[in-house]
Amino acid sequence: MALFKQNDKLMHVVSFIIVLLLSIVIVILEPSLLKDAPTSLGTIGSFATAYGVIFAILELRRAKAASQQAKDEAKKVFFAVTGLVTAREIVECQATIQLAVASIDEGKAIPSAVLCQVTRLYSQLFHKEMIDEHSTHRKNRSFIESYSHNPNASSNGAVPKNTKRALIMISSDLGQLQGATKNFTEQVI
Amino acid sequence: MIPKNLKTFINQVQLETEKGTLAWSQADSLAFFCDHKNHTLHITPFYDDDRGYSTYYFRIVTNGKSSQFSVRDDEEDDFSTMRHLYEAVIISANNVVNDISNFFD
Repeated sequence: MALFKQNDKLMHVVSFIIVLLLSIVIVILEPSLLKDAPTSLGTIGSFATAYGVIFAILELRRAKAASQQAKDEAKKVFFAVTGLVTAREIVECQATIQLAVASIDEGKAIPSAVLCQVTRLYSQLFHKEMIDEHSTHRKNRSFIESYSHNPNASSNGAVPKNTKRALIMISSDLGQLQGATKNFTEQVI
Repeated sequence: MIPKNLKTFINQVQLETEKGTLAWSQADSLAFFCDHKNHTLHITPFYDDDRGYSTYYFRIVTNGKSSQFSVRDDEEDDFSTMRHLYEAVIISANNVVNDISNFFD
């Protein structure tokens, strides 16, 4: 930041020297520019205006760079907060999946509330993948939804292998996302 | 019964399933589903032991909005339509046409 300010000052000094040297050269080449008081005043005024314009351009550039830097910092904070929210959702979803898998292992039907929670969180976390009809994420969700709508699911006592496999795949997707989120948040912080 | 305004749709689903345009996957307990664009179709047969009747459940899920209808075996025409659709779905999910393509070679 200090370096940034020093560079700015230097730019102003350099631009001032350039305008000054240019003014001197022009006046040497064209002495009539200082022939009397009104002409001299006009000439000096023109050079001052030229320097003013350059000064304004430099300041504008500096302000733009500062605003970009502020924007980048705000973005970092936003991503860090989003990462924390995502991490919480992942943990919540994984806990719900454990409940669902435990129900299957015990030979019980998976409670509808658990299935709702899994599909809601999974859809939230992988909302982009859900748009793609060929994605495995979309298929996993459909397996879970199919189980939740299936009137045979609670009555026939058969192990819902496909649903269990889908739950395990969802858990793996979540683990992968958890790793990516953790790395990203660490990098940002 | 099949809702009136969905009869053409169900026939079209069967046709497209037979043509191979729609791909179905097998879920658990005789259920099948098909992900297509932003829609997911679910079909499940159910036999009620206590009452002694069969039912096909069909569900259309679009962007989280879910609509279901069911067809019982006393609704002969509709039940037959659903049975044909279900059979076409099994063939699609198991990729039978591909499996038997070299059967007579």
